[in-house]
Amino acid sequence: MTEPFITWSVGPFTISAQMLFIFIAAAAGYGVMSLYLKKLHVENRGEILGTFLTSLIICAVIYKLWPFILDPQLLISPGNLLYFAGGPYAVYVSAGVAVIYFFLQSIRKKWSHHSLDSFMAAITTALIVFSLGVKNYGLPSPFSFGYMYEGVMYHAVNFYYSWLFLLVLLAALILVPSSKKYARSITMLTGLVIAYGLAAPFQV
Amino acid sequence: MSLHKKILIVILVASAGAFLWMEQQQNNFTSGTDGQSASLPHPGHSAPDFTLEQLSGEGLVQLSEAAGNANGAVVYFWTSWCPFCSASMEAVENAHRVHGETIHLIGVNVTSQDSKQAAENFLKKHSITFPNVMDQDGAVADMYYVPPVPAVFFVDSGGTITSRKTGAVTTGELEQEISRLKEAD
Repeated sequence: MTEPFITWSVGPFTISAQMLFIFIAAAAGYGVMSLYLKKLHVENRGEILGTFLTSLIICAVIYKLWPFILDPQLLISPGNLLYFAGGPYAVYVSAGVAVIYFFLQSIRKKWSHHSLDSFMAAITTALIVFSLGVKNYGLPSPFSFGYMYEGVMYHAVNFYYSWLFLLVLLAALILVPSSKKYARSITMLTGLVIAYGLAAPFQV
Repeated sequence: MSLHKKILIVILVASAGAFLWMEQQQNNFTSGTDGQSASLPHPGHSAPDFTLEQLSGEGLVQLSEAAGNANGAVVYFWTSWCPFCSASMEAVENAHRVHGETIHLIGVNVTSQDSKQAAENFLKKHSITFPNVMDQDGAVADMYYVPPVPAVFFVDSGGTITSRKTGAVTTGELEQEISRLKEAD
């Protein structure tokens, strides 16, 4: 686990721990989706994976261009395209559009429920990997485990999330049959909400 | 039901039970303390305090005092050679001109990676009027995991970091976070 705001520089390139683990999480999600569809012998696996990849690209592009959507005047200086990214609600909007895009494609192309189930498995996996990789210091803790910083023990909230999200994924894959339409997706969605509810009291 | 399903159900129930028990313990612990904690440069935690000399030579600036005497403070780490800092300097200056009476804007030049002369020229070039301090040995920057620059921290009047961003900052972001600081106060 790394500190969230640590950065590494290689020549002119700088990457933060958070950004690195976002990439790793996305790759892990893609891998799990691929495996999931392969195991269930879904016919249009390649097309579904391609759409997932497009969703990720849409997410990244919207996040990058969001400042220019909110404030088009920034485009007066084209150099600003290099400097600005993100901003108010950028994460939610970019992620939301990506999810909607995948959802609409799955309806339009009449994919089986496995596409949405694999999508949810990919998202849950990405959340597990990201939570495992980047430290999240919670409230000061009464327990002897957690992150020690300047003599104070803090809840390792990211670890809590990671553990709970892992259980959600396992529960959906092991306890719910894949043949039940959207049952795995609903289980994962519900599980993620419950997991958040269980770990949130320890978060600042 | 197979054995591994039974084991998984036991783990699920035990985990949910453990978290509920931990929450109970946490509630007892929190009610028995005054909420004091170490400072961490993360949102939700107390901002590491610092006192640094101004580039203009007009004296010292202390973060806790600046934030406490207003609705909060915005700390903006920068260097003169950073094009990202240059791109967002105008937005920070505008925020100071609009909200300067209620929110203290503090520029921190990471002088350990810059030079005083270059920093002064940079401020003149961008017509900056908010106070800027020098972090000559980079100790404050280290505390805040800076560089990379620019990095901006929003600190409420109680000294808690409400938000942070690494990278160029826009007027929209500053307005949103400053509004939050004002509403919270």
